[in-house]
Amino acid sequence: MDIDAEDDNEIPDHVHGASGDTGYVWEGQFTGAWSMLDDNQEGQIINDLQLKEQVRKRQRLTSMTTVTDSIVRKGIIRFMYLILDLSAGVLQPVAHDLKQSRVSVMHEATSDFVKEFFDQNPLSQMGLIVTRRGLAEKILELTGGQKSMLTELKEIFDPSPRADDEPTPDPFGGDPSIQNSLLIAHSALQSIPQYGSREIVIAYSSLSTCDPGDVMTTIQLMKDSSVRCSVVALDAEMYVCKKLSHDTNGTYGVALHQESFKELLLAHALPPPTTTKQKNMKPALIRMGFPQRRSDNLFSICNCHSEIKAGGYICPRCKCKYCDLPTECTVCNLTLVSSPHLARSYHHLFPVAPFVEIDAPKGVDARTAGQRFDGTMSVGTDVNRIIELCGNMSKDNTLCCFGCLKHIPRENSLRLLCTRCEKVFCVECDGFIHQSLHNCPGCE
Amino acid sequence: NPFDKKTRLAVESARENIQLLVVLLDTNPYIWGKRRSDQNQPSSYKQNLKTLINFSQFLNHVLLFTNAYLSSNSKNKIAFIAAHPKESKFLFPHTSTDRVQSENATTTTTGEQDLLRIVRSDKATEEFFLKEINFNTLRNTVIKQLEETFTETDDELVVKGSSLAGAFSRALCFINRLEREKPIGTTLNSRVLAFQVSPDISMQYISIMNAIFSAQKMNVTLDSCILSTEDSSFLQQASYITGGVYLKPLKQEGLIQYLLSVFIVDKSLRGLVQLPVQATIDFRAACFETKKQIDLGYVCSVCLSIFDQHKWSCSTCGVKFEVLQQVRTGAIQPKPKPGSQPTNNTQSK
Repeated sequence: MDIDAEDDNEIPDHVHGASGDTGYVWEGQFTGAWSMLDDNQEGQIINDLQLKEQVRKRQRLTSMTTVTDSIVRKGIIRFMYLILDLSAGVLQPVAHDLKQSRVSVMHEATSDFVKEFFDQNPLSQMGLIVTRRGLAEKILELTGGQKSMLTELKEIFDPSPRADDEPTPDPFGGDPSIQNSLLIAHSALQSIPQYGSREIVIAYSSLSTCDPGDVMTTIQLMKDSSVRCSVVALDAEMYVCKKLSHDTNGTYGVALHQESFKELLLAHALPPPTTTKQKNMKPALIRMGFPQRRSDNLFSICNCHSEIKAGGYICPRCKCKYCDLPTECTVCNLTLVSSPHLARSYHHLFPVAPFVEIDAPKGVDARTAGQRFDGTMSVGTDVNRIIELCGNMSKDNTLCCFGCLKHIPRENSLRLLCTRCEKVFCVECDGFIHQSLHNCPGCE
Repeated sequence: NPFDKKTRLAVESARENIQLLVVLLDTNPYIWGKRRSDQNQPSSYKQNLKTLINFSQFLNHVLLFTNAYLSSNSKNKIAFIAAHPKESKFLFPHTSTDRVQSENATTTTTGEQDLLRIVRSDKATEEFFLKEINFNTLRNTVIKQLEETFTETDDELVVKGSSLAGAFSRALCFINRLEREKPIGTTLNSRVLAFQVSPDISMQYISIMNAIFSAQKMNVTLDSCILSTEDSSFLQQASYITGGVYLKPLKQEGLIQYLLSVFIVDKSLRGLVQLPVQATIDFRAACFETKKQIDLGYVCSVCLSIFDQHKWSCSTCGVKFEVLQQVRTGAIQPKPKPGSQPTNNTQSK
């Protein structure tokens, strides 16, 4: 098939192949693969594909998880409203940019986002707002329960057929309204305590918004109430969304394809840094209870379902039983958590220092070799010692990864060094440590 | 009927299933050495301490258990990590001082040569999966490595307690590598069995919890066998969260019986066997300052440190707290303004 001869009037401009010629996105990855090979001075092809692959993987990981070493105050206790755009934009046909329909992409990405959010922030709460036909509707109030969010999402995107023969109302269609959804979220977020971080994430898939008034005044209202609004868009960039996210210190991401939509959305599961502009967010001491788990041999009525169940947790103040943690006691309003829930958030506060590469990238000469470490290491590390160590190690071909015992040869693979314990790691262990484990095995 | 479809499917799937057990041995020389000297004491008040086994007896029990584990299924794989005070160390499979020996180095037996090849390249992990582990080689390697570990101990660091968090993290990295490099079509069921004699170190709490959550995501169960005199609340929580077994044997000289009846059982068979359960798990947190367990406490919203009494500034992150609801109701004294007289207080709890 001759790509150049195709009529490219219907293909939008933002879809380009890897080598720049127009075509479908999935064709793009197969063109120009030869441009990645280099040759050395004798004209032979250098086999460093594995190294390039590892470097690319590491760059993706570091950009996604923003591995920084400075200690930044983050909003750990978050109250977030997820706003979904269910207008006609979502019904766009399976056309130029996605392999699946936008509906299924949104469903999958938002379900994964909800699970990841409650996994990373167990003390936080999330609510759901949808916008369609020019109106906004609050589906779910702020809740700490992951299950209710997931069932509501399923109900919207994949509704079960009704028992009676009435036709189900069409869940999608019409125009979205940013102003209405922001106003609903704003009034709901007014009642939360002051130590919480207020956030809104909008999943947008249209190119316009249909508002009853001036959306700029609403944006100003959000800014004054220090609500952090972020947008993740499936369609093209819009000025309103850009201004909203910029003014409220949020982020604005436009997805190129479905994986990037999921990545952009999942990035919001991590706690955002708090800024001094959020003056309404005052730190406070929160009264919390740490209930003990009762033995599974004892049966009593639980306060959440009003049923007789075994096991459960007893509130230390009013002695009511609850089945699951974390929850808020309905009788005495005490937040009940267990220490693992708090411990899940500690890794945001004490992150692992990023590892440095032992071998200098190609083309860097010895004089500037030390400069590549500037800004990558924490205060207090002896930079000269690290430079010397890297210099010695880069000649050594017998290094093994400290985490998984894999031998990493000098050519064709990336070797990484922890600056605190001076142990070597391979690129897979580096990804695993920084994304999942949050512990350096050598520093313990 | 041995030829019906359900049995055949079960047999087929069993063929592709590989079990991996990573054993973490606590090799704190101070505690083990103290036990040995206590055992040699003739005095009667230390009589009850004689029920605690010393290291060579313990190692006998563990090696016997390993032999039984490897014999029960040819596909069973095992790895050993020693949790030493300074750092953790892989006993099996083993590299010498983190460096691979050169190709020309002579080795004592062909078994050791194979072991070194395991860690040398990823193609050789296929051999790790396909070949059976030889118990003799394993026993000799483990004993030799343990001797080396004990001889290179640094005296000052001993009393600190062993780095169980470091050993656990290394085990998870190793399991992560094997998951990535396993032969196509096999499923790898991994679990970790930890033996502990040292007391819990509160500084390691965050690291152990991180490792536990990572293990939970990877579906790795952590079993713990406590050989010290006190219970370990960290390992209680760890075993509960990952779905493993927590056991503190009453009679340590019969350790092998506990190992062969409880810890040899695979994950898939655990539903069929009556295993020890934990009655109450202590999920209470400890105050960061007074270190005592609390039921009701205060948590800083910025750094999540736990306190048992109300404070005006957080001692971990230094942030100052604002006026609370409780001051208006009189439950807590208001913060005295500098330079002014203290207000006459209402009823305070």
